[in-house]
This record gives sequence, structure tokens and C-alpha cells, in this order.
Amino acid sequence: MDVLIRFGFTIDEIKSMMDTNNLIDSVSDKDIYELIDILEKAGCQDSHIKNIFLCNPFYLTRDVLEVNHFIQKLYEIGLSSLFVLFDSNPYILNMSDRDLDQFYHEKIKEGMNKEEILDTINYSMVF
Amino acid sequence: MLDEYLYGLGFTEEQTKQIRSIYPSRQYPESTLLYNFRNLYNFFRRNGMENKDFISIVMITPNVLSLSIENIKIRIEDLNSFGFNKIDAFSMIKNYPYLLEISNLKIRNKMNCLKELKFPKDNIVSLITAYPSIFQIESKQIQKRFQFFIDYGYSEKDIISIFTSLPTLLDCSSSFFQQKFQELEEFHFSKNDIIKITTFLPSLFYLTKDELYLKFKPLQDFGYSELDIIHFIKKIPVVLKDSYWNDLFSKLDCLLSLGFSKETILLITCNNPYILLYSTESLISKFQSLLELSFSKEEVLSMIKSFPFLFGYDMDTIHNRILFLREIHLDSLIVSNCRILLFCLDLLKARYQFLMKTSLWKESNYSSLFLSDYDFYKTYQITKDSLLKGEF
Repeated sequence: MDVLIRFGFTIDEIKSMMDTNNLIDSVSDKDIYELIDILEKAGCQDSHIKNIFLCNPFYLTRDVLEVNHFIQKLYEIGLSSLFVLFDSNPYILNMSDRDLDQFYHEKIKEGMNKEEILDTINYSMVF
Repeated sequence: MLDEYLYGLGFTEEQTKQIRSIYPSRQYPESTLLYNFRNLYNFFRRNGMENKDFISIVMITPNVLSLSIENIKIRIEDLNSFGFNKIDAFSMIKNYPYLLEISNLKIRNKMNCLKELKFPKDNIVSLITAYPSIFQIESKQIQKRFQFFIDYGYSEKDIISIFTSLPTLLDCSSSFFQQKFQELEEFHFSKNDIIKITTFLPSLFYLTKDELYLKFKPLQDFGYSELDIIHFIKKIPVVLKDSYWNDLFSKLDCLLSLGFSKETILLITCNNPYILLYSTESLISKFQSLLELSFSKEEVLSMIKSFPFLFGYDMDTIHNRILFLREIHLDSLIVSNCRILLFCLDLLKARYQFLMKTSLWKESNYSSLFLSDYDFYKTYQITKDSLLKGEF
């Protein structure tokens, strides 16, 4: 938990996150660092990261490798400036690369083109 | 003497008779037997076992009476060499006394079987510690079970996670799982949903169809349809955990007390099921924070109704987005089209600066700010990345 305090979260904010996701207690500081690092690499600033954690405390218990695969998949399908997406829709970070792949192909089957799918992902609170 | 000693430990009369009649006891004189019992009992007690555990060990594996303490210590050392610490070793013996009798080869083979299935070493140790009865399951059966899950569509990682968190599932038959998959499919869960949900919550395999219906009943009484419930379980499988499920009604009561109608609650929680996972304190505090931004209660209720994700964002983020929209005189839009609050402030500011710089900004043309990326690009020939880098 130290890493969250050092990041600037208040005790009340940490409590609120733990009330929502009681498994946070079992996550190591190393994993939290790595999860923060992933977001920073995607362009997130501290205020975005704070919004993501408070809105979606379940991100804190995600597997680092799985999140990396998911982000890789976002880039593969053509998304960029991911911090904008994560700040708008922190819940999307609970998806797996498999979920995203399935979503993408469902939309293709529905007749959407790539740009329409990317806009849907960016602005339709997909999760 | 022996009988009294055993009664004192908690053995029943019947158990005492049974002990006296079994082979290892019959070969010793009573005084030796009493001596062995005392030694064994004291040894196990020193290592954290309770009387009932000791009784269970003796009744299940009476041969323990012919083992010396040294032999048991060697077994503990063997288990240490396989990666189990002393506490784990005694916990396993308590739960599966046969561990005192099985060979090191059998232990090694079982661990190798899990290793070949790509279980990480830590998972192997924690799985066996939690479920030492795995030693009575044939390795071939474990491999078959693993393959069965692969064939259904689970990844190796999913399967390892499922069996590590609920190892008793290793003892269930393929037909048991087949039936469970079928039952879940009848609830309109797709294969992918089932994989996702059961990987997250393997205990779901143990819930019968009737038990699931029973779980849904109070929510159906509140007004949710079965499809609504299935929808939010698909979105947030964690909600099925008792700690969340049992607390759902306090969240619903909280939303009612904030002034939402039942109908609106159904609407907002189906659109954003995460609302059901936030604590009541958090829901109240976010509602209060919106009121403090000079919106009336009716306005806040209407804003959340049209954009339920407002209940999720960090209030500083929302505050800054609202301040910016007020600065550029789009206050009225916040209530009438609250969905615009989903836009990341950095993107809004970049678009606004671009439109100002290129003299394209007019308040009447505000909707340009909230175009999708593709439409913005089609209209103004500038990409989101260039906008955010200030390349205009």
C-alpha cells in the first residue's frame, strides 16, 4: 500500500478503493508499480492515473502480463494516445486481449469499418 | 490406563475399541502403546495440532502408531525438500494423514505431473498444501481434466488459476463439468463468458442451477429481469462473490435514499454495473460532490440518469472537466447532455485550442468539440495525435 500513499492517494481514497476491491490488500507494491508504469508508458499523467485507480480499483488486481497483452492489442487494432481512452473509460482496463478481439470481430460482423470500431471503443464506454 | 488416556484426549468409546482391535495396536503391550501414544500426541501438539486432528490422524492412518517420531521428522524433512515449509507440512498431514505413508516417488511424480502441465512451482506448492488429497488422484486423470478444459477453450493460464484457487475441482468428473457448462449456457452465457466468469470465480462450478435462480430471486423481486442480471454478471463477474452479492441491497437502498426511482436504478446499474460495486459511502460522497458543484438535486439525478458513469470518475477529474466547460460557456450543456463529461480534458482543451487558433471556434458550433476522432479528422483534417502534440 505504501506505493499508493507515495503516489499521493489519501487514506480515505485508499479505503474507498479497498472497499470496492477488497483484494487490493494482497497486491504487492512491485505489482502496483508495474501497473502504474504501464499507464505512464501509455501517456498517462498522475491525474489520469488517480482517476483510473479511483474509478476502477479492479485495475489494481489485474495481472501485469495480461494488461500488457491487452494494451498491445489496442495498439494492434489501431488505437493511439491511449491515455485519452483510459481517462475517459477506466473500466476498459478490465478487458482482456481476448475480450477485445471478440468485440472487434463482432463489430466487423455487424458491418462496421475499422474507423467506426475505433470510435466506438474510444467514446462508447466499452468494457 | 490406555482407555482412560484416550478418553481424556477425546476419543470415543467406539474409537478406543477400534484402536485396540487394529493390527499395529495388537502387536504392542499396553504400556508400550500408551508410551507411543503419549509421544505422538505431544509431538503433534507441539506442532500445532489440536486433539481432534490427532484423533483423526490416528483413526485414518493407525499405522502411525508404529512410526517413531524420528520417522515422522524425516517425512517432514522430505516435504521440506519438495518446497513445503514445516507449517504447510503439518497442515497437509492434518488434512491428509495418508501423507505419512506415501512414498517420496509418488510425491515427486505428482509434482512433476503438475510441472509438465506448466503449473508454476509456487502454485504447485500452494495447490498441494491446500488440497493434499490430490495424491489420491491419478496423474492421468489430472492431465485429462486439463485437456478437457483446453478443448472447451480455456487457456493454460486460466486452468492453472482455476485449479490453484479451487483444487477440489480436480476431483470432479468431465461429465460434472459438461453439465455445468450446459447449465450456464442455458442462462445465455456464451462460451467466452463462461470461461471468463469461471476463471474469475471457480466456485461457480459448485452452484447448482436452482441455487443460481435462488441467488437471482431478490434482485428479480426488486425489478431486474433475468437478462439484466445475466448482463451485469457478464460485465462484472466479481459481483457473484458473496461479499458483493450479499451487499447489493444496501447499494440499492442507498440509491433509493439519494432520490433515484426504482426504474432509474435499473437503468443506471444495467448501463454501469460497477455502481453496484462501489461502497455506499462512495456513492453518497460522489453525489454530494456533484451537489457542491452548484447543481440542484434534480439536476444531479438527471445527469447520473443520462450518464451513469459519472458515479465512477474521480471527483477532481469531473470538477476540472466541468470547470473547463464553464470557462468556455458551455455550462448549459453539462446538464442537458451530461455524456460530454466522458471526454478527457486534455483532448477537449487541444480541440478547443485548435479551433480557436484556426478561428473556427463558435459557441454555436460547440458540437465540433465532441465529435468522434474520425469525424473530427474528416472535418478538420487533423488527427488526435497531432492535436494532442499541439502540432497545429
